[in-house]
Amino acid sequence: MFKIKEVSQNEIKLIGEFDASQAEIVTDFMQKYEVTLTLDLEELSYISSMGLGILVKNYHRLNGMGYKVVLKNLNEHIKDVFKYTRLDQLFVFDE
Amino acid sequence: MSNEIKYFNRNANELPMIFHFLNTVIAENASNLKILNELKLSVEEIFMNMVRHNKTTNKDIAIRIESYKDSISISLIDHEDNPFDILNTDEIDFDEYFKQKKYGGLGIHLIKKLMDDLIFDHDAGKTTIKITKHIN
Repeated sequence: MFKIKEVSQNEIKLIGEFDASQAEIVTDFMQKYEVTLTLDLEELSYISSMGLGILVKNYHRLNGMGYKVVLKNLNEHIKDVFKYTRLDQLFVFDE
Repeated sequence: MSNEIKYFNRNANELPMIFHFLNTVIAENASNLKILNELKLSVEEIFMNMVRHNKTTNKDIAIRIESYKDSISISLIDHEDNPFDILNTDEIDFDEYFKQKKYGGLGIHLIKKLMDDLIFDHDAGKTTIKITKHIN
């Protein structure tokens, strides 16, 4: 099961398992944000390479406007995925 | 050792059922959530590659899970005549990847990082990709 919800105007929360079947939902949801955006991943248990790709695509979109993407509360699996793909060099982490 | 096989339609919407299959079989043998997620990521990547890149068949994709005392192996089996050998891919140049603002194509790199073994085999019109993860 996967859910995405708005915490505030510049923060969203991803919950559950972000696999390829959720790609369109997340793409549509994130498209409206044009701010430095914080993603709270505390309740995100799993992310696939397709999920990562959508976060990177939004990083480039927002970075092109002068904004950042901030990630917080990553579990060990998701930290590893960012480390192995060197995406930990791209995003800002709020530890 | 246990050995279980299931068949799935060629559709991303099958992923929840595939994950349920993995959760059920693997949880009996490995309680480590991190290992389970690494296996799920690898299976999803291979399954979606088969769905996206093999348009020559409508046949289901088979997923076989073999659980041993100290490892888990998962094979994905598809019908195709001209397979894509995922072992025969270039290493990603990450400096270039970031410079070109790419955002996909990280899955095979991740499988190679997360799994302990990756085998590709093609025989008699069937492709088998087998991943293995050591539990201990």
